[in-house]
Amino acid sequence: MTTLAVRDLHVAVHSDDEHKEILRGVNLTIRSGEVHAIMGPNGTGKSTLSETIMGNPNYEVRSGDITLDGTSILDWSVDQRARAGLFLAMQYPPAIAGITNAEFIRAAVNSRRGDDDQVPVVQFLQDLDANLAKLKMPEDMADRYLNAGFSGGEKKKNEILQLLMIKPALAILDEIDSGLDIDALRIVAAGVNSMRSANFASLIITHYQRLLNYIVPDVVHVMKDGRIIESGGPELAKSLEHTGYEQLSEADNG
Amino acid sequence: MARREGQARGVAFWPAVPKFNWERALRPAPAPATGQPHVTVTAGIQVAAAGTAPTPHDRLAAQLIQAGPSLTVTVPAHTVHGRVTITGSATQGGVINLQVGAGATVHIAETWRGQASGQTRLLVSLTLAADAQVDYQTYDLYGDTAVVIERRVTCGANSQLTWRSASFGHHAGILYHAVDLVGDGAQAQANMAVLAGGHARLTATTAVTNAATNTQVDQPARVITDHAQLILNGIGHILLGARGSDAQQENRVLMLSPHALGEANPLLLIDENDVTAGHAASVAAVDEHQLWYFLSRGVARPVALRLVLRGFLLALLPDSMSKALRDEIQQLIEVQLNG
Repeated sequence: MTTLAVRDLHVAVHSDDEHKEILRGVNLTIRSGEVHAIMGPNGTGKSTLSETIMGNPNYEVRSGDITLDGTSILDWSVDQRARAGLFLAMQYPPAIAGITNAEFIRAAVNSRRGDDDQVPVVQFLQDLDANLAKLKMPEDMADRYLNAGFSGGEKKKNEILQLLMIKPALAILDEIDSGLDIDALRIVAAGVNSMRSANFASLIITHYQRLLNYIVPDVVHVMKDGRIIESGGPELAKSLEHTGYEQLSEADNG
Repeated sequence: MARREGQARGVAFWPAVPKFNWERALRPAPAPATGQPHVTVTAGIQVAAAGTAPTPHDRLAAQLIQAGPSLTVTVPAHTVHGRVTITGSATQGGVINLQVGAGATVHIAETWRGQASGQTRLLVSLTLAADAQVDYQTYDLYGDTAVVIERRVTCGANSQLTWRSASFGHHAGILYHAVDLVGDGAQAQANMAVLAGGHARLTATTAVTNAATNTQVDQPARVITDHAQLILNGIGHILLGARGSDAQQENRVLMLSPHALGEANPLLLIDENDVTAGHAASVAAVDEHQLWYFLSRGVARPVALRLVLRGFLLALLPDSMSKALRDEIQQLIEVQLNG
C-alpha cells in the first residue's frame, strides 16, 4: 500500500524572475487502488503539480510538503522518487538518438533491482514483446532510438509501454490523451486499466472528459489558479463537459 | 591566405586550421611498420600491395605519403554491392588509396586497433568516380598511441558518399577528415563522433570543399572530452563557381569535467554567391532534459549520464554496426568515461 499526500503546496518556477507562485496551496491524497483525475483550463498548474511531485529541479517548493507513506520526499532526488514507486508519463518526452527504446526501458527496470539481480535478457524481451502487443505497437519500436522520429501518438504509447514495463506504485499521466486519435486513446486507456489493482494508484491530468470515459476515475479534482477548487466523483467530469470551467470560477469567486 | 601559400607550392588545399602547427604535429618519429593491414574484398575488387600513391592534396598529406607501405584497392566501375574491409593495427599505418569506379556501389569499412611506441601515421585517399555510391565507415579504436591520421574523400559528379567515423580510442594527436566535392551534383553525408578521454590532447578537424556546382554536404561532428584537451575545427570552403551548392556543418563539443579544455572553431569560407551554407559550433554541457528523462525512470545519475553521452556519440554512427563492434565501442566509451 502506498499513500501519496500533497499538503498546502506552494510552488514557483526557478527561472521566473518574479518568482510568481504557480501552485498556491494544493492539497491532495492518493491511496493505492485509487485513480484520481485532475482537470482544469490551461495554465492552472496541473503540469507543475505533476512535475513537482516527480522532482523536476526547475520548480521550487516554497512551502508545504509532499509525502510518500508519511515520509517527506522533498529532499529526495528524482531517481530516488522513481525507485520508490513514482512514475511520470510525460507530455513532451525528449528524443534520445543513440539509445534504443529497449536499452532505455531495461536500464529503468534494472535500476529497481540489485546489481546481482538484473533482469534476465530473455525474460525482459518476452515481457517487452507482450506489452508491445498489448499496445498494438510494432515490435521494431523496441529497437528504434528512443522517441527519435516517433509520431506524437507513438510517443504517448511509448510512455505507457514504460509504465507497463516498470510497474510503478503510482503513475502520474500528464495529458496522455493529447494528440491521440480515438483508436489510440482506447488502446492507451486499456493499457492503463490493465494496471489497475489494489497496489496501483494513478493521477491523470487531462483537459478533456473523453479520456475519463475510458479510464473511469474514483475521484475528479478541478484545478484553477494553482488550487484545487472542487473535488467529486466521475460525474463531476461529465458536468464540466457541459458547463465548462468558466462557470466554476464564478461559483468559486461567488 | 594559407591556401594561396599552399597553391603557390603546387598543393591544392592547405588545411587552414587555426591554432595548430602542422609541422610540430609530426612528432614523435613514426612507429616502425610491421606489415600491411588485413584487407578482404568481394569478387572483382583488386588489391595491390604497392600500387599508385594518391596525389597529396595538402602539406600534411605530402608528409604522410612518405610514411610507408602503400596499398591500393580498386573497385571496378559498375560493381554492385561490393565490400571492402580493412583491419589494421597501430603499427600498420601507411598510405591507402581507394579508387571506386563509375557507378559502383560499395561498402568500405576501416577498423584500427592496438598501440605503437612511435607515432602512427595513416593517410587514406578515397576517390569516387561519377555516380559511385559509397558507404564508408571508419573506426579509430587505438590504444595509448600518438596518431596523425588524414582521410580525404574526393567525390566525382553525382556520386554519393555516406561516411560515419568514430574515434573512441586512447590516442592523442591529429585526426583530419576532408571531403572534396569536385564533380557537379556530388552529395556527401559525413559524420564524426569523437571521445577524448584521459589526458589526451587531440585535434579533430572536419573539412569540406564544395568545388563544383550543385554539390551538397552535411557534416556533423560531435565530441566529448573528459579530462582531455580537445580542439574541434570545422572548415567549410565553397569555391568560386560552385553555384547551387549547400554545405551544412555542425561541431558540438561536450565537456564532462571542469579540467577538460575544449574548443570548437568554425571556419567558413565562401567565394560564391549562389549557395547556402550553415555552420554551428558549440561547447556545452550534457542535455539536462535527456538526463531528467532517465532519472525520472529511476536510473541513477552516473548510469544516466553515461547513457546520455553514449547516445550523443552513437547517434552519428550507423545502425547497421555489428553487435560485436557496437559492444566494443560501448565498452570503449565506458572505459574512457570511467577513466
